Amino acid sequence: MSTHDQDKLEQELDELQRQYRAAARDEPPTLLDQAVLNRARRAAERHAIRPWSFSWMHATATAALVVLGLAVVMQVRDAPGPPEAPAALSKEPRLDYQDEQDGPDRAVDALKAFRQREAEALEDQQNAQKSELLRELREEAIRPAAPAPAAEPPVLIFRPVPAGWQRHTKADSSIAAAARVDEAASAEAVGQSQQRAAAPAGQEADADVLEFSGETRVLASAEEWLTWIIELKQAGLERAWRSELEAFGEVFPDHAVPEELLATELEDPGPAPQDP
Amino acid sequence: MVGSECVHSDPRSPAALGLVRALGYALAMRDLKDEQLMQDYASGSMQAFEELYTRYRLPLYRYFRRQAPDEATANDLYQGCWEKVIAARRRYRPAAPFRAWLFRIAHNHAMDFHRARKPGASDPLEGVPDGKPGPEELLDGAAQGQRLLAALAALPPEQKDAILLRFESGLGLEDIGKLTGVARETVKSRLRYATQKMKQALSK
Repeated sequence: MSTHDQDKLEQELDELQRQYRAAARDEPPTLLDQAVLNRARRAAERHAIRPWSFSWMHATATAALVVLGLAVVMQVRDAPGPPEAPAALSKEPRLDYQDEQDGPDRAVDALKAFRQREAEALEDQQNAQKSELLRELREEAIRPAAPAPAAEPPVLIFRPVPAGWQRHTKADSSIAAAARVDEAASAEAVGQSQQRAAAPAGQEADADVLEFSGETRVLASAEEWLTWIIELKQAGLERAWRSELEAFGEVFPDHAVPEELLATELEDPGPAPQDP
Repeated sequence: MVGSECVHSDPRSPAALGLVRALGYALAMRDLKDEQLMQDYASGSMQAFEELYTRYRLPLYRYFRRQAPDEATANDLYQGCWEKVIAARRRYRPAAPFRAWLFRIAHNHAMDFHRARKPGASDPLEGVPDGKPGPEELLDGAAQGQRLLAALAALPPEQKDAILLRFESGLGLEDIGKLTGVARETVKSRLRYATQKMKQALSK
């Protein structure tokens, strides 16, 4: 179609439009207008209650919270756990299933070896304390006479508590008795129940290796040490109190020893009494 | 905004002050373009919508009145079209002219209506609307207009839609082609045939 034809078409359309506008005078009813406007107003009010800025801020805050939470979770997950205590002295050797399958002897051997290592470690610690105390005492003796201090500072003596001490001190307690029965039963399970369950505490202390409970008794003076030795003797821990008395003699060679300890010190300890 | 109601009230009363303020706002709205008004309405301004509605209520209603078989159907189509506009207010982008956007919605709404009709039903696009001229009307000046409306109603659907879009929206051939999804030359051809048929009907 040429430009002339298009212009002619446009003129005809304009003329028809003019006549059409004059003829078509339809209007929407007023009720229809009100319905449309009410609908638009409700939509605008909904929008005003939740404006664009609010929804944007809400979405941003939600996203930030989610990211922060994820970061915290990942950081907690990646953080290293608490440092484990050295297993050598704090834990007994694990008797795993393989050990039990190999037989109770192997498990008992492992337990003995562990306790021996523990006793050796405590003995080393004890020897180090002894030598330190001896060195200090010798220096004190060599030192020229000086004006005596107004009050002698207390000397702390750390002594390992032998195994079975608690049991003996609470021998009358029914709970302790029940615990002893339970221990005997468990020892029986690993194959050595016959000897340990029947043996009294004193005999247990006379074993080849002196066992310690892992606790340490803090003594403030030589007198307290002697009292502690007497308590050990009264508890029937023969090997323990003799060992303590020997150590006491090395540390305090000139200190007086009670008669009850001297009388028995010369005696041969002999075999511990056997339970019937 | 819709309908001119005469309000008799004390000019010092709050209602009168509110009316004055609304009138001032409406005057300011007059200078705004359609696109800005639609954006304002999308932001929650009801006055902007009222201004838009005032501008387009008559063209849109006439468009549907010529497409529908009766007034009730035209009312339903008209209301449904505005509801679509309201629902789509946040999707409107001012890159496209509001007029073209509005009549695209109207065109699609009308096409949906015709597709949804039963196949056996009479095609309203080819029928004659209620304004069919009577013998006495043909004698005066209004008779010419009624004949024109009758000829318009008798047009094929595509031609009638094209010429109604031309009359009511004022869009050019290019925009009508984009709106209806056909080429510009196709729109021109439809308009030329429609014009010829209407002229023939008027010359009888």
